[in-house]
Amino acid sequence: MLFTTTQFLLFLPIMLLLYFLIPVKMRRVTILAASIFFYANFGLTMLAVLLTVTLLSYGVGLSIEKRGSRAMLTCGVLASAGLLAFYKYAAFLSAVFGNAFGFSGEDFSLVMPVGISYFTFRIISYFADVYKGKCEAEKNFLNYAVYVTFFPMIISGPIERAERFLGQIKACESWNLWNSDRVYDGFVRVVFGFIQKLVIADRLSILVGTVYDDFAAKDGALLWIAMAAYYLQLYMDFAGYTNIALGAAKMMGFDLCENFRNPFLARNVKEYWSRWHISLSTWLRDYIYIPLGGNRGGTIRKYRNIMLTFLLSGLWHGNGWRYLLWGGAHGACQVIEYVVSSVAANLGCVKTIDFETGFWNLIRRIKTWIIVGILYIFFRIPSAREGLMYIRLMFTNVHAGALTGDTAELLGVTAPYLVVVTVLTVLVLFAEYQAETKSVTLGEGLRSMCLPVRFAILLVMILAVALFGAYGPGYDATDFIYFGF
Amino acid sequence: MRKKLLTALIFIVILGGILYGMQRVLKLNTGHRGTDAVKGFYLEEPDSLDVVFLGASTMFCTADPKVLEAEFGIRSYDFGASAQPLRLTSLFATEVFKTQHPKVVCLEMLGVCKQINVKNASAMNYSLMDLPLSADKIAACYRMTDGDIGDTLSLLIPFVQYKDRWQELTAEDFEKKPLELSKGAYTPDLIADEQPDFSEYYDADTTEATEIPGDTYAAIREIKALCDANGARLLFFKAPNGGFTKGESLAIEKLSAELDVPYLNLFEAMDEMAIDLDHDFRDNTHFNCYGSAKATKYIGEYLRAHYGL
Repeated sequence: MLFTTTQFLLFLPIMLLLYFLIPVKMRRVTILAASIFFYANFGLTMLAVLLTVTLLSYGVGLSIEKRGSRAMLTCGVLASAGLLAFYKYAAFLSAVFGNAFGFSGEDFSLVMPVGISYFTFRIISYFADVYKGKCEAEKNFLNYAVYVTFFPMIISGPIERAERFLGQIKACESWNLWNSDRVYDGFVRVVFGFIQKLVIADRLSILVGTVYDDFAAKDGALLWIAMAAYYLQLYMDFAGYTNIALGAAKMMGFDLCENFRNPFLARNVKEYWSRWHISLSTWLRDYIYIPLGGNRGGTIRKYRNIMLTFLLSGLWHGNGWRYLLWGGAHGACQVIEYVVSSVAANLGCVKTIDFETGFWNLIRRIKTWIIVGILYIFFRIPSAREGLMYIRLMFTNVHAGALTGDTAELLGVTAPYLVVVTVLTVLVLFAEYQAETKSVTLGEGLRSMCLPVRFAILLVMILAVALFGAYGPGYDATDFIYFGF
Repeated sequence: MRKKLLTALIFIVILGGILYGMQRVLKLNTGHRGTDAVKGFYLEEPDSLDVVFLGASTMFCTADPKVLEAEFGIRSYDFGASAQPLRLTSLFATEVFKTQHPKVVCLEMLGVCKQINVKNASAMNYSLMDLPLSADKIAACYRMTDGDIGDTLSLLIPFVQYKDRWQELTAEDFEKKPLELSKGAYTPDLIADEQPDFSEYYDADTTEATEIPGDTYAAIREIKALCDANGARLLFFKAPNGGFTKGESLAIEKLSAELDVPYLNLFEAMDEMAIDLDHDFRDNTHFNCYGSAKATKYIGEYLRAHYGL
C-alpha cells in the first residue's frame, strides 16, 4: 500500500496503537510483522523476493565478517546489483540489443519489486560497511530483517546506513514510547508531507501533464512554467513522501536520516547534490566515487570519477537513454563548474569579485535552478530526442502576449487552485528554510509557539490537506514519481 | 500526560466539528433530486405507507403520491434519487422495511440492462448522501466498489466527493433551506420544446431480450426476497423515456416471468392514459405535472384493481 491511500491511513494508526500497547519485548516482532503486511499488499511474489533477498543477504553479511573475504564481498555486491539490474534493465537492454538476437524488450517486461532500488542499495552499503569494519555483521536475524524491510522506508528510502539504523533497532525495546513531544513531531511531519504530496505535487501534476503531453503545440512561456512546475512537483512529491516516512518512523521512536535540505538554495550543481536525495548522493560518494579514487590521482581522474558516478546515478533513476543523458549532464555540469572556478580563480578581473554576497548568491541560485530544472525535463518526456526538442522550443517558441488572463485555463488548472498551490508552496518552502536556519525540526518549531497558535497552525495544515488534497474519485496513488525508481 | 491527552482530544473534537460544518456547506443540495426525497422518507410516520415506489428519476417524475392519495386514498412515497442505479435500489429496499411495511413495492426499471459506473459521483451521491449511516449502507457501498476501501469511503463521506466545490460556493450554500416535502415526487410545470423520441422502443423489431448484468439481476432478486420476507408484493413498472429499448422491455418481461412479478409497461398504455406527446413531457425522459397526473391515475387504478388498495 502506498502512503497516500486509504489503506495506509487505516494501517498506520492501528499499527501504532498495537506498537504502543504490546509488551516491550514484542516491539521488533511487531515492526517486522507490520512491514511484511505492508509489503504483502503489493503482491505475494514481491514479498517472496524481498524475504529471500533478506535471508540470503543476512547470510552473506555474516560470511563477509567471518572470512574477511573480498571475494565474498564482491559476490554479495554483484548479486545484489545483478538482481537490481535484472529487474530494472532487462527490458531496456533487450530492447537495445535484443533485436540482434531475435527478441524484443516486451519479452522481458517484468514487474519490478517495489523499492528494489532502495533496499538493494541498503544491502550493498551493509556489505561494504561490514567488510570495512565500520559496523558488525548483524547476528540477530530479526534485527537484520527489520533493517531491510522497515515499512516507512521500503518504498522510497531514505537509504539508511546499517551502522546508524541497526543501533536504533537494537535499542528500541528500551525506549519509553510515551513521549508526546516525539509523537507530536512525527505527526506534524506526516501532515506536512501530505500537504507537499497531495496538495502541491498532485495538483501541479495536472498543470505539468497539460503542457508536457502536448508540448509541441504550446508557447515557450508555458513550457518554461511547466518546466518550473515539474521541478517543484518532483521535489514536493519526493520530499512529501520522505516526510511521511520520517514522521511515521519518528512516531515509532526511530530517527531516519534527512533526505532533503532546501535544494532550491543550491548555488551550484555540486551543492545541489548535497541538498537533494542526500541519502543517495552520500551513498554514491561513499561506495562509488571514493572507491574509484575520488579526487585523488589528479584533475582528469577526478573528473572521470565524477562522470562515472553520475552516469550510474542516471542509471539508478531509470532504464533508458534519457536517464543516462540526465545523469551524464549532471556530471558534466559539475566538471564544468570545477573548470570555470579554477579558471576564474586565476583571472585578475574576476578575482576581485566577491561571489558570496547576497546578490551573487541569488544569481547563482537562479542559474542552478534553471540548469537542474531543464535537466529534469528528461525525467518527464519519454525520449531523449523529445526532451531536446522541448528545450529547444523553450527558447525558440516564445511569443509576446502568450500569458494572458486565461493562463490558468491554458495550464489546465482552475485559477483558485493555482493560487492555493502557489501560496502553499511559498509557505512550505519558507517553513523548511526557517527549520534549516534555526536548526530545528518542524515539530520543534511549532512546539516553541504558544498553544493557541500551535493549535491553529496544525488545524489549518490538516484542513488544507482535507480540502485541497487531490484525493478521492479518480485519484491514482501510484502516480508517485520516485515510486518508479 | 493527562493534560496533553485532553488537549489532543479537544483538538480532535474541534477538527471534527469544522470538517462536519464544511461538509454541510460543500455538500450539493440537490433538493428534489435526492436530498429531500431521502430525508423526507424518514419523516414519514412508521407503518403509514400502503405503497412505496423505488427507482430513479423516471420513477419520481411519474408516480405522484399526492395524486394517489387524493384520488384513491392510497398513501405512498417516491423513495429514490436521480440517476439511481438498480444496484443501489436494493439498499433503498432494505431501508424501506426498517420503518415501513407497505403492501406493494413498485420498482421502476430504468437502466435494467445498463452497466453503471459506480464511480459516477452524481449517480451515487444523490442517492447515498442523506441515507443514514448503517451497516447495510457500508456493506452496500463496499460491494458496489468491489471491496475498494478508498472508493467505499468516498461514497460514504460526502466531503470526499464535494470538497472541490469550495471554488464555486455562493451565499445560497450557507443558507439553511426548508425541505421540499413532496413525498419524493418531482412534477414541474414545464413543457418540452420537442416530442420525446421513443423510436428505440416502438420502431424496434427485435424479439431478443437484452442481457441484464449479473449485479443488477442479483439486486432485483434481493429486492424480491425482501418483499417476500416482509409480506409485500413487488411490481415492476416502466415509465416512458427516450432511449429505452424493446430489448430491455423484453428482458423485464423475461425476468417478470422468472420471478413471478407483474410488469406494468406504461409504453403500452399511452393511449389509455391519453398521453399527449406535445404537452405531457418536460424533456425526452420525464413526465411533467400533466403527464405525471395521468400516469399516476393509471397506476392507481391498476393498484386498486390488482391489489385491493
